[in-house]
Amino acid sequence: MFGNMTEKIREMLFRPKVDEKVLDEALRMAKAGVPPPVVWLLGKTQSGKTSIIRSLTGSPDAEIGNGFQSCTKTSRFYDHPADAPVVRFLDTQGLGEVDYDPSEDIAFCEFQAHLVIAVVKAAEGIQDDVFDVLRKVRIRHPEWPVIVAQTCLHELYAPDSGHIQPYPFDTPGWEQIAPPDLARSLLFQRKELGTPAGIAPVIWTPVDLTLPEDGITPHDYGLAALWAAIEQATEMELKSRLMGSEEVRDVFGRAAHQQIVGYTIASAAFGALPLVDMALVPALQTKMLHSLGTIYNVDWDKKRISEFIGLLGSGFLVGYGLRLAGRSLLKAVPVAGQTAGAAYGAVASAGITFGLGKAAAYYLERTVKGQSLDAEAVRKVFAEAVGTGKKMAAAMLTKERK
Amino acid sequence: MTTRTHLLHQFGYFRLFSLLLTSLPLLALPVLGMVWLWQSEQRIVWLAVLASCALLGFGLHLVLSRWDRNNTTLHATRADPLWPPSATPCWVKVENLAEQTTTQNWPLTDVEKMALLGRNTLETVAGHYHPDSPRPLLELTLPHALLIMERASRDLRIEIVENIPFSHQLKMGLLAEANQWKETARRFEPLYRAGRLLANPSSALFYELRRSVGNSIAGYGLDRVKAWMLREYVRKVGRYAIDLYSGRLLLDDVVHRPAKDSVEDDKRTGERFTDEPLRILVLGRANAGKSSLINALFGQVTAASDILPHTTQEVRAHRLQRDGQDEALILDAPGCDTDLFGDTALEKEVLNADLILWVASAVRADRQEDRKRLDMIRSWYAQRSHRRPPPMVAVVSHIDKLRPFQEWEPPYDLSSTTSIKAANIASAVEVIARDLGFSLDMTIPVCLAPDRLYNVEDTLAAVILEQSEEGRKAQYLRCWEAEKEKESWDKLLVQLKNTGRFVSDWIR
Repeated sequence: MFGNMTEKIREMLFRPKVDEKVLDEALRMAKAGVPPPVVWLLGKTQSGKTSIIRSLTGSPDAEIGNGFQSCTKTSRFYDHPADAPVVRFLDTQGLGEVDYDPSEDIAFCEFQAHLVIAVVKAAEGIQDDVFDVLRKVRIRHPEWPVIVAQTCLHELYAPDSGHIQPYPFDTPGWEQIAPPDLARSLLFQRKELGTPAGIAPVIWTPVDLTLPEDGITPHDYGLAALWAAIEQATEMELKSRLMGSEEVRDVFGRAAHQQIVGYTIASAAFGALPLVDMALVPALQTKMLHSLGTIYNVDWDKKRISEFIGLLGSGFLVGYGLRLAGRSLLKAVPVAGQTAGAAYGAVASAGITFGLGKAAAYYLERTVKGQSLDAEAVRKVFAEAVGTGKKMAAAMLTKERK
Repeated sequence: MTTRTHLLHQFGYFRLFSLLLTSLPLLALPVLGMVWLWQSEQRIVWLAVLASCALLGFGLHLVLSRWDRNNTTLHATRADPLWPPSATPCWVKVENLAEQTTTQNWPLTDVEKMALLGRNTLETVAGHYHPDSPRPLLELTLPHALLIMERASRDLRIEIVENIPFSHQLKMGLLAEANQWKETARRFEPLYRAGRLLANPSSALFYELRRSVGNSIAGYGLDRVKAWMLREYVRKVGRYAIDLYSGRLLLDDVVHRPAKDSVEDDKRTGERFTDEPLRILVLGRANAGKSSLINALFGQVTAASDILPHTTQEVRAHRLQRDGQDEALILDAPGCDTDLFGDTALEKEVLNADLILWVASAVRADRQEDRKRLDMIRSWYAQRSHRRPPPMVAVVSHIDKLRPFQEWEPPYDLSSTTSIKAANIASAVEVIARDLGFSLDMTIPVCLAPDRLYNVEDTLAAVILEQSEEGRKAQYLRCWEAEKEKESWDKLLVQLKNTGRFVSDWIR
């Protein structure tokens, strides 16, 4: 019976008999049902908007310019992660480009956005066009927090000097530590913008995001502070969604985490959508496991699947089967059951998706590094992650109802 | 006639007879030679030699005259280089008219026809400047008409002294006498020739042949000079007419008299110019490096520069003196995108500039503001066709901040493909030239950081020097405009004063 069960779940998880098109359609609906927050990047051309997106998402699509010629020619969304986005960055064509009238684009972005990050080069004192847009936006959306990223700090350094370590700009009194020219420039821009209308805070964050080959270390100077600012500016828990908890530090870990969060949100959305067949949830989880496999460059062959399911143990199998059954049963009850089942299903599927993803990431990471695997640890990761995933889904659903 | 008889009388008939007697053997020699030729049956040979010599001489003359024409060109009046661009089409018309003028149609001896030719030229120019006026010749003021006569007369005098040899010793009386001699000769010549024909038919025939050929030899140079004089006449009148109708001819000479603004700016520098200096205006956006450029050009801290905008609060003039370069006023302006320097102020400074240096940072891609202002500057000059736009040079600053950030090892060869920095500088120059509408050779990359000065002393200074020639032309028209404005007021004031005196005299 046990072997049979393993076989069944393996079939369900790794060789789902679900049409790819149906799944994609469901994912699209989930995206529409629970739209990811849109972060609008506003600034002059070559001020570093796309650099910020590149650093935040690690997306290789975010092509950055050479500093003297405009690069981004059209506004563009960066869904992150691409399949099941947690956040969408809205990159815009820079202001001040010869023969470009930005008014239409600005209106479009303002309509789409949930949060605006203004990007200004620290060395360019006069930012009237950017600040004017900010002021107008705040009159219409007084509740919008504004983040102003002050970029390209190195242009104000004395020759042959590097970044100040540790990053001082998030602690009071940084004015004394920073080089005088830099400090004066940063303060000048803050004074220029003044206090725009509205109640939400304006958060100033100096960052310097360069390319690794530029030789200025670290090349993502101030990125953590920018994350903190985003975290402070929004209740959308963007940071925890994108960065993961403390233990996720490496590039693979972060990418995997973002994928897992994306699929967790999608599966929660599936649960909340009455019309979506819950049988799609395992298909979604499969897609996630394959995405994770791609990140770690590991192929899910028969041996690995068996090993992974074995490590999760019988408790997982029973729980997975029961949950699936319970969800379907509840959903079958008319009216009341639909709602309750949806809510229950949403939270439960999100929990399992997150747990499964985290456990798989843990398994894959240790496999890649050739470290020993211990069933106890895998189960612990799974159990903890199920809890986190449920909380995430619950928080999302509460916000939805609001 | 009395003079000649008188002269003969004075000389003495016997003395004349003795002179003739002495030279009689010599005078008989050609006659004897002819007789000998006749008798020894050599006359055919002699005639052949005579014919071939005449032909050879004529051919040699043709070659020489062609060589002459190629090597010696007579002076021709050209367009004034200081004219505004609007005068060029009109000058083309005058040149065409001069080319069409021939001595056959316009004999120099006919004074009335000459006056008509001058009038035609004037009308051509007047018609160009006042196409709508039915009688464009009337569109000029009386003092100006008198002035053009004065100028043309003076020019004519100088031309004659320079081009006709010994003209300074030529007296009007001598000219009249020479004419009289010519007239007498002409009166008796046909009679003389007819007599010759009767006396010696064959030699007279040769004489006639030689005369017609010889006349064209001697007359050739004269025809050329005549044509030159005609065309020069048309050009001269055309040139002054253009000066006149474009309103450029002032009642006073204006060349290099300081314009009003420079006098004021001189006060700003605390020194006086004796001559109008070249006004070099440094423009660009806030923090592009305008003041740094001025410091770099002066080689010392002259203008305050800082990383923050609003460092330069108003237009400041600095006096530049350099070996081999004339004095110039360098004007440092506030950033054109700041509130300190609006479009009106920009227009005023730009219209008072002879050379414009537009400073743009290599690491700022937002050049819309720059382009907007540059287009404005170009349109201001386009609207003023009587002004020559000052040459403009784009100065690309901050090239040290291009990728790779940490490299700064000048000099950079912009055609090099191995250095990334050089390649980036070259592309930045290209992009900026395109964005701002400059030509590539007028877009100069520099580094203005005091400890990293690069390309200022050599390349940029050379370009400025080269462009200052063009700047001088722009300056001329600027001074002239300022002077013209001043003139109308000054003249009006004097006229009013004189009228006032007249009226008060009359009342008294």
